[in-house]
Amino acid sequence: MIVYLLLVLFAATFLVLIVKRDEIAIIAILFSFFSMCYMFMNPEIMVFGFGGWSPPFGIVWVLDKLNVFLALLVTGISSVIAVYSLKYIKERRHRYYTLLCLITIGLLGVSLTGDIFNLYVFFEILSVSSYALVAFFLNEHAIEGAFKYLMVGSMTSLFILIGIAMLYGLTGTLNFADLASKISHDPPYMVALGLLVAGFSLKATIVPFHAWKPDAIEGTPAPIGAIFTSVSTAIGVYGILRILFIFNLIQINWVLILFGAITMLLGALMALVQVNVKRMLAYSGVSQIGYVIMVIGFGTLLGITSGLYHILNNALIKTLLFMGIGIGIYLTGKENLNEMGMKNTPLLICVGIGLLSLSGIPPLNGFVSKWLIFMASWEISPMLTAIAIIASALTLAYSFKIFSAMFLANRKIEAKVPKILLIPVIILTALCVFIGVFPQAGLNMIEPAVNALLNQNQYITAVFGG
Amino acid sequence: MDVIIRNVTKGLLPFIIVFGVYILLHGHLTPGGSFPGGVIIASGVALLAISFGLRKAERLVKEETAHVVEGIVALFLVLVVLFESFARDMLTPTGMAFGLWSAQHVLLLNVVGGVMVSMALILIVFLLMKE
Amino acid sequence: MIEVYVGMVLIALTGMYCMVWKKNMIKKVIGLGIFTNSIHLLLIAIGFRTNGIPPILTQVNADYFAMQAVDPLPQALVLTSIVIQLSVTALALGIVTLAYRHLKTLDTERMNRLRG
Repeated sequence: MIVYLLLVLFAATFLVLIVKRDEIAIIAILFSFFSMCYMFMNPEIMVFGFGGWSPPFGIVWVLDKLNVFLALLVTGISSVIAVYSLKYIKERRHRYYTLLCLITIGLLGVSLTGDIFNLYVFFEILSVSSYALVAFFLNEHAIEGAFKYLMVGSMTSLFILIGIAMLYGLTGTLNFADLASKISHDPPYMVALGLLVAGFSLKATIVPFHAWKPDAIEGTPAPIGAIFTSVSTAIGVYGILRILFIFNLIQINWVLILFGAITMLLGALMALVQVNVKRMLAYSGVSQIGYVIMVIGFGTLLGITSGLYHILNNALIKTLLFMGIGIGIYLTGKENLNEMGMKNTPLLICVGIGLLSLSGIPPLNGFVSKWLIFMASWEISPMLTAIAIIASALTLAYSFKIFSAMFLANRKIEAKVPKILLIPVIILTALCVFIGVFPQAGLNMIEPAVNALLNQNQYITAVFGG
Repeated sequence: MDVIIRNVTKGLLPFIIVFGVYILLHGHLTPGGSFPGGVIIASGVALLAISFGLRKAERLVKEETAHVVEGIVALFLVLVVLFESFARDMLTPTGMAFGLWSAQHVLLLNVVGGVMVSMALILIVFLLMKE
Repeated sequence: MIEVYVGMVLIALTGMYCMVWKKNMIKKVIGLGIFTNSIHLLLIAIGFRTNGIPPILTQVNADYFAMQAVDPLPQALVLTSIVIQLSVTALALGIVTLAYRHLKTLDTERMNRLRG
């Protein structure tokens, strides 16, 4: 059944180029979102072997609760961005939609697969189409950002390949469930673990590996910046989680806690001094992923729940903010914070709610996940809670800087926002408020995912027994 | 380019293309398959483009033809995969030595994939050489 | 066998040195190719068996084939990885061509317009 979904997306990739109509791509991505909603309703783990081959011999895609949660998030954000880009991108739009379909195929493949080399192949599909989309506007900023991202990104993808080669040489298998039953904690396995985590943490923009992100997002169009900070980082964190799941090492881990804390503070501090609004939001994305990595390092149930909830909220808020400032860039044509004053009431409300949610103000969704993060870090060490609160205060500072530059400036232009750019922003704002007022709705999606992550035996029996 | 390279290319190009087609078609018996076969065909055309210039190479394969053929063949690949997922019980993909027709849908996939790879690489070579 | 692994590490270090230290963009792309090829060497060397035969089944060696043949799975992984390397290299060379057309230089020390 999953084969048909992939075939629809693949066919849409080429049909957009031949027939030259963009709506095909939007229909295909929306179709993938609705089929992921349909798969989400199914309460048991589904295993698909490609070509009819059974698990240790063939490639298998496993849909347990964590995979389906991420696939739902990924296709939802992709479909919103696809609708938004109809008006935002003005020239060479067919190439843009081809690459957007390819990114969706890559993201969907990484979230749903159950085979480690298949993970690498789809990760490379995602990476290569990301490099092409960074260089989409063919100006000098885009070229510089694309070349930097290409050099660093391909080197760390090759680190993932070395890790896969070592794991294959040590165990003789490539399947997640088979690896999980054959891995021990000897030193050669730990080297492979280190290489794999280093490879995925480039996509997840953890501190020593975050340097490509501001330059790449400054060169790329705003909707693709939204995909990079919301969904690409979520897939990077999912890669780290899945590798730790295979090694059965989801426990307290001071390396992740240390790097998470440094990422939080560094991202927030660097975001304060920026002048370009897209760079500021890129550093803000780095800072939020620092929160997630720190609480994953705790390894407790509350820690991982708050981490996954913060991934969901970060995706919604960052997409909302990038689309909002994208409207600002579309209307004023400038990206500098000193020149972006506008006067438009629906946009003020939506971006205002997005920035309040980013800082963690009560009736919105950012508050829910940040409160859970503070509670999770209080159990381990009060100093980590203090660091998290300081980072939140810095977040509030630069959020207010963006808000005052966009809406409280001296020179404002009054312009009409096209409806098709404003509807996705309103949908995401409504989702933010809804999850903030009814946090149980988010927890209903995340608790099965956390239980699937902490329960290795259920995964192994589902893949081999069924 | 050079006189030697032009004359050697004039004599050698048909053999390169036939060799590429041979590796394509025997993908289920010997090492090779769609990807190396496609690369060899495309490198023959790239040799033609480098030694004689882009306009002579365009007489063999035009750029718009490559765009259209690649798109249509990709959709044909989708149809082949759909066909294979429905008719899996009727086909026997075990190849016997020297049997060209022994693995049916592997042969079809090799030809389709080889055409796609060669058209894509010809497009890459032409677009990088244009100025 | 250990010579193959030591050779792989040396080639990988050469590739990484080219990617990091050289300033010309084309030399960096060449370094990427060298590094990728060293990893392909590692993958094939992992599937090696002493006195093994190529993994092609003919009517001559039909019995005890699985005990004599070299492991064919890493060879399939390397074929996939070569295709991926091809597409990354093609994209990198496309970006290099674009950079030469717009910025008129291939020197990465002079491409420092993005700051902060």
